Amino acid sequence: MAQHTDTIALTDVVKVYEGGQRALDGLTFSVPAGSVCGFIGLNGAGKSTTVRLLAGLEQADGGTVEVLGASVPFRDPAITRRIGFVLDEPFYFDWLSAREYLNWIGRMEGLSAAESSRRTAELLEILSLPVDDGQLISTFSTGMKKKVSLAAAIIHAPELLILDEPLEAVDAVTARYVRDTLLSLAARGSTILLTSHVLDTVQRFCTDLCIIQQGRTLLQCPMASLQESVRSQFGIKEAGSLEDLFVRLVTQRSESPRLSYV
Amino acid sequence: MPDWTLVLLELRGAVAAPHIVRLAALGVAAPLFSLWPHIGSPFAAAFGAAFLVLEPFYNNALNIWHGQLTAYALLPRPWESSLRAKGIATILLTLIVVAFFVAITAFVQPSPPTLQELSRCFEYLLSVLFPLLAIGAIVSRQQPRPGSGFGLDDAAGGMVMLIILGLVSIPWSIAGTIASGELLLLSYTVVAAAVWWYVVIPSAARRIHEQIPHLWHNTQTLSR
Repeated sequence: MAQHTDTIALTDVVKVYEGGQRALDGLTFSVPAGSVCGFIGLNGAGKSTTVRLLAGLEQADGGTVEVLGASVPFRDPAITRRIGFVLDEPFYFDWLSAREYLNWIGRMEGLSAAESSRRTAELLEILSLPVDDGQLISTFSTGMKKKVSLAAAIIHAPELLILDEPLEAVDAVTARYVRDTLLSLAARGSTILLTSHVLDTVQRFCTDLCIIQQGRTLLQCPMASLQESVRSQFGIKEAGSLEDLFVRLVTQRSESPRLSYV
Repeated sequence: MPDWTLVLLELRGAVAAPHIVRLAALGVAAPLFSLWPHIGSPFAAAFGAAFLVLEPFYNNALNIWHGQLTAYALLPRPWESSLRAKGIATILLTLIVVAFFVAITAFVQPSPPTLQELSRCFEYLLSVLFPLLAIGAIVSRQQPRPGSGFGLDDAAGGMVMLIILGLVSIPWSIAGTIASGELLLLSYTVVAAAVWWYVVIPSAARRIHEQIPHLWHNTQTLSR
């Protein structure tokens, strides 16, 4: 049952793809308001499927998905305005320049022309994106395209950010700026759900953690009580870093397998 | 009120490749076809070419560009508003492209077109425009392509467009053979416009909203 303080609440969510593949198999987790939740799992664990369900692009075959107190898909477009998304599939128009696209997104999100333009200029500068209108998004590298998606997600300073691999392929300097920007947003009350394979970042950046495996929640807890949670739920006394713990939990082994010829 | 920010985006995207390439290729071909004496009206080829160029804007309106369906689904806008903006942009584009093709065709004709011929062209355009938009709202939802370009499915889409264009041209053809045909055609056009605006768009918007996961899944599957 979702508490009213939860910004995201999934209960017993099932998603079955064609061919019977169960991407989500009774997934239940919630993201408290104002938290920065790291949503981690192996490739194919169901992270991106969950993000697409939250965006309303896919439909659950069972269970309930609630975002900002409303069932997905949203009946009221005003709810969408309170959310910023970065998906694994890009959805920008690559025949626009970064400035044109961000300006347009700002207007779509309800900003005035002047405010949208001001925020666009700031985002372009902070994220080191080209200000030149002659350089279209189609010519950008993967990392630059990711930065455009990120900028579009945060231009309206939304109440909720749902970010699928937001720092993937982004350079170290920009990644740091993005993390700081996201922390600023969180400090002023935004809730953030992000998937990442960079567990060091998740450990340092997130206040909450959710690990999923094969479409089910393996562990959910505040980051501050991670050691205590794994001790009580899995009997692991010395968890070490989040990466060590994650590897132990999802593979049931503490050491990496070795190649016979290396 | 239409969302003019969206209308402008649609217009801006129309000049993005590959549509502009289609425009250039067919813009040259259409006037040449008009010189073929058995084609009927010298402007028939210009209309055919214009609607072939703009086929994605009618019959693949949710996926004119890769990622468009996802982007529009995540916009804080009701689908009704997005569809109205798309429709208005398509009307404006059609007027521009048809005027362009008709002008080129007129230029290569042995004698300049009369005012009556141009007026017939305009009547024809208005009579087919709204039925095409209404049919396009259904085709776009039921037969989506992941994008628009030069693939086999685009060629098939072009053929379907020409067949639909032939069917929606029937009222204009009949009107030309009966008494008070012009008045009847005008009434037909006004009714078609009203049906598109007040019935087809709200209905299509409701269905798209309900079917987003299905449409999105289809588009993703097709694009793989």
